[in-house]
Amino acid sequence: MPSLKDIRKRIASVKNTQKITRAMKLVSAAKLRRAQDAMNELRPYAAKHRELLGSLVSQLSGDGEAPHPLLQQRETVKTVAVLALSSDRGMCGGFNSGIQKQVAAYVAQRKAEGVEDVQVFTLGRRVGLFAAKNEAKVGYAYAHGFGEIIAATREEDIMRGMTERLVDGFLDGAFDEVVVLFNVFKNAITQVPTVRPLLPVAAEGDAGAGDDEAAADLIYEPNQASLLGYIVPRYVEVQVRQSVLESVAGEHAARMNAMNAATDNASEMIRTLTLQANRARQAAITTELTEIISGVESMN
Amino acid sequence: MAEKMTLEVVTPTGKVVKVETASVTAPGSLGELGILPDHRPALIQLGGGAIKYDGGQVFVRGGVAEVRPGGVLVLADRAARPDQVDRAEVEALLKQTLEALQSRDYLNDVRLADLSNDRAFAEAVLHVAGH
Repeated sequence: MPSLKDIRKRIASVKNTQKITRAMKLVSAAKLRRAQDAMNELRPYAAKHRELLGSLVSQLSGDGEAPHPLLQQRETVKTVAVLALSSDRGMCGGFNSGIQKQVAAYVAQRKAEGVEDVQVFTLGRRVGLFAAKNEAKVGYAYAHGFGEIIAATREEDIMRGMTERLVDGFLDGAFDEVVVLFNVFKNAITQVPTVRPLLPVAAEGDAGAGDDEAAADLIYEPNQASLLGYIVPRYVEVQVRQSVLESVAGEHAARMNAMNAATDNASEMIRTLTLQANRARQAAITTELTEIISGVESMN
Repeated sequence: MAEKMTLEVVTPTGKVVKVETASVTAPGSLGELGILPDHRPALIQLGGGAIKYDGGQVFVRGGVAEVRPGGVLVLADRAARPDQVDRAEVEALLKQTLEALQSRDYLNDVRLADLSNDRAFAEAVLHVAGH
């Protein structure tokens, strides 16, 4: 049985830990709000791009030939690039381990399908370390991730650089397919590791009949093909950006939940320890009393 | 005939302006163009420069403008209101852009278009700030 002093020491230490986890939870909550704002700001821009892309593609495509090289499906897929997003730091529950498992599973799956080479590109330190340790072929790993992505130009450049690298690789024929693997931000409680195709760009050219008529009546300046050439690369960038923002929001949400659980656990532990401490104190008092009483009795 | 229309400028990092205006002047990729209310629907590629509207302007670095019934929606790569630009930053951008344009190494069409958009953007900003 631990002494009363030991138990009190442990209570103090658990209380300190609880203070830290509570602070981390509050910080994550604030960061989550910012990340969600950034996601919401991107949404109208992304939605409009998707719509324009869909309408241009449906007008320009015909006879099987894709109207833009980034839209072209390759007949045989030999190499695949995977862009995996994670956080830089831990303490966020299953956020990173989920991604790591997905990366391993996805690489194995594509290899089983007969893809010769799967290259993993990583953003975020956790998945970078993981990919380096496992035999997954690492295309490129950015050492730092995106904990503070929002509105920072340095991160913007990294994101652009990464997108450019993937797009160039696709156009050169270095990859036949590019996918992004990241945690989809469902809500503050659920994040799901998901694989989303990035290249070739999948455009839903399924605009309604009425829309088509309206679209045909549009004036295009300079012309449809050139506009498509402008929009497609932007669209790819937007897709990457959206994935990154979702991943960042997911990271903060996951950390917030993990820290919330940790704070609750600490409370529970403090309760149990306090009970133990009280019991030990009682026992000590009882012993002392017994000693005094028996001492007095022996004097009589 | 409607006398006013809405001008909305959206970037990946949020909305920059949303105003009611009687006319819009925008830097199209083929040249400056004016848009009045009830313009025929159009999709226009933009270069860099200033989008002017009643009582104000915003600077954009490339984008697409969609003219639709009721107004104009601009999807800009980047955009800034006059009160949001940092003169020193823009000067640095202009210098950098001009150097890149002069060096002539690795310039594909897209890169070249981006650079000239940046240049037009920077020049528009400095032109206004110089007054």
